[in-house]
Amino acid sequence: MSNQSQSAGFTTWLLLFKYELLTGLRTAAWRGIALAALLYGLSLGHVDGTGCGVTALDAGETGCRLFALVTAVWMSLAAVRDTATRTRVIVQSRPQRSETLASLRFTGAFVQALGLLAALFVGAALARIIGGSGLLQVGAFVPQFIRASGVCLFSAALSFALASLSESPIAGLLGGLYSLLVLAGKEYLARLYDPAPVQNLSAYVAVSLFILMLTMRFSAARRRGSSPPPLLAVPGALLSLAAAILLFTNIARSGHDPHIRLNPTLELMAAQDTQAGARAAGFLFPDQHGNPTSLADYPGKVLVIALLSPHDVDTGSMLTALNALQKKYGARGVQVVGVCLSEDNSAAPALAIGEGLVFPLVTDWGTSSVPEKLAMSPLAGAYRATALPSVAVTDRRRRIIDIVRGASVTDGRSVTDLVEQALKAEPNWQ
Amino acid sequence: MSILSTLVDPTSGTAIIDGNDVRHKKHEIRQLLGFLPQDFGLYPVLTAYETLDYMALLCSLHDPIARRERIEGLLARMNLTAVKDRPVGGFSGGMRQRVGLAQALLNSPKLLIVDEPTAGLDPEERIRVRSLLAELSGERVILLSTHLIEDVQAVADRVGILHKGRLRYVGDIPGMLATVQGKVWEIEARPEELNELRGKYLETGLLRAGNLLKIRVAADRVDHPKVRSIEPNLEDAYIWLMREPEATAS
Repeated sequence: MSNQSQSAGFTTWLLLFKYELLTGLRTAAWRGIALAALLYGLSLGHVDGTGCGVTALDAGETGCRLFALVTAVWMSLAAVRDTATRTRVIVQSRPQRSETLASLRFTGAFVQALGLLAALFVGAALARIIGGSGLLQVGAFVPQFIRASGVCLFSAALSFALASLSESPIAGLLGGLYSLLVLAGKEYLARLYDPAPVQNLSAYVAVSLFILMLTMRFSAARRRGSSPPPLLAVPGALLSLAAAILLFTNIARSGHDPHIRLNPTLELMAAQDTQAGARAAGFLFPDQHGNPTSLADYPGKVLVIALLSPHDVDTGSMLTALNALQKKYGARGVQVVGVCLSEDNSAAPALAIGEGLVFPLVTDWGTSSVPEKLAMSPLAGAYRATALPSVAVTDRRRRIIDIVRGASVTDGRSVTDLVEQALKAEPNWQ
Repeated sequence: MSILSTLVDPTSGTAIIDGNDVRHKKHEIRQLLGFLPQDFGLYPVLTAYETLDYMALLCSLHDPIARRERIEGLLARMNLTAVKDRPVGGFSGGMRQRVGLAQALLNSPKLLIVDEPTAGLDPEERIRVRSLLAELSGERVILLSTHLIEDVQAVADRVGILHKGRLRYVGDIPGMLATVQGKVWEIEARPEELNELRGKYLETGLLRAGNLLKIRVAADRVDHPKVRSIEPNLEDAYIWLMREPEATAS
């Protein structure tokens, strides 16, 4: 094929894509859902404080769960649109590759679904800007939007494939049902089966591409004798399947999930036992910038080790209090180290950027959603964190002075008292 | 129609269009085919121009200037220029049918297949669509499926009559009329005779004339005191051929 005809073909594809987009964007259904998403986003951003981290995470979670379901419904309907609008015959009798038709329909509908997701994030970001957040902090929404888009891509591919191959939107809703099962079944499903954690996303994007390639291949077969044969579908399916297997294997081998694999490093962390007077349990986790961080990086400092869940309602105010503590006492040798217990590796960076943190917030990648609090992460077990947040304050030799747990942490006063106590006992810091 | 338009595979046999077998050369056939199905929809949110542009792109009409000229020409021909920027969702049945006809003509097809194009239209739109088909028939082969004899009279050079999958007749219109020449009669009868006459002869029409009925029948011979032979029309021929057990080919 000459460069000129390739270019003409691509231009044609773009113009067709424009019409695919318009068929959805001009409907009352899309506009109604977009408005509802915008209002929901505004309501998410209506929280105390001036940071964006908690709202960004909430928007990300909503995108990964609720909007994955919305996407599944939207894509299922888009897949059977030609049957519903009775346009199937005049479209299918055109001399156009089946894979082009399938890819256009998918891309158009998926971008429409992304538009709905964007409305949610725009609403949430607007609310935070009105609440006083700076533009840098609003940046926390971007990675969460990308994460939610990835989950929606998986939901879209699954539901589109099922609906278009069975010619029934109900089959496509199984894609949405999958998302709900993951949401409801976190206690018994391994992390690998959940597309929402950012570390799983690349594997699920590969799976999505594999599903799409299969859909394109089989849509050509269903159209009966479409010639010339599909170009991308078969090699694309093989490549994406290989990538998905490789990525899933890597996640299973390097992760820590009681359902799949225990990690020796994390088991060593779990073997420590931290209580008042004992040495604070050590760890080596990546901070918000991806730099490996451990307590040994802060020799001779009074340490404030805060174990927190990004999903607690008071996380925002607690981080604000800890940030103020770091700013006030940092020069006197006090170091706050946050440990974010989340199955999703994007949570800590989102909180750190969104809340403008001046202390390291590391991701405890050993976290897994299980009913028993002590087992939710090996490190949490070591700190006997029966409730979150839990804040341990040490002296300059890393010995635990006390651990404050639960709601009393939130106002920061009891933690400040412990810090004052440590500084009074050992005021000099080198 | 579905087999010819490459949407369904034949269970047996085949059809060849311009040297292309429908079983193996679907892509080639789609390139030379225009198809207006009986039951079709349009994307309601797209305007008439956008609908045709979308369909033209699906036909791989890459050149934007040629595409625009083609669409504008067809809109003018279908008398849709004034409404080209209105969403087709608000169009009447006849306007939608004309958009459907325009989309079938976008790729200047050698073969235009139209399935019941005037079904469900009001008389004015029916005449308009029929006239368009008559106009187009000079430029290409049109395969028109219809139950309306007026459509056939207006457009067709050759007629095929299918009944339960069997071809009853293939030929031109004079040939079709010839099959029933000398076999069409008008009987002037009292209303109470109607049932008896219906049992004996093939009725092709009925008119009331005062207290009497003028019954039009097709038969080799009619035995009635008030009967006269009349000139057959296509409806007579159609009903006669549908009755005949064997195909009549010319």
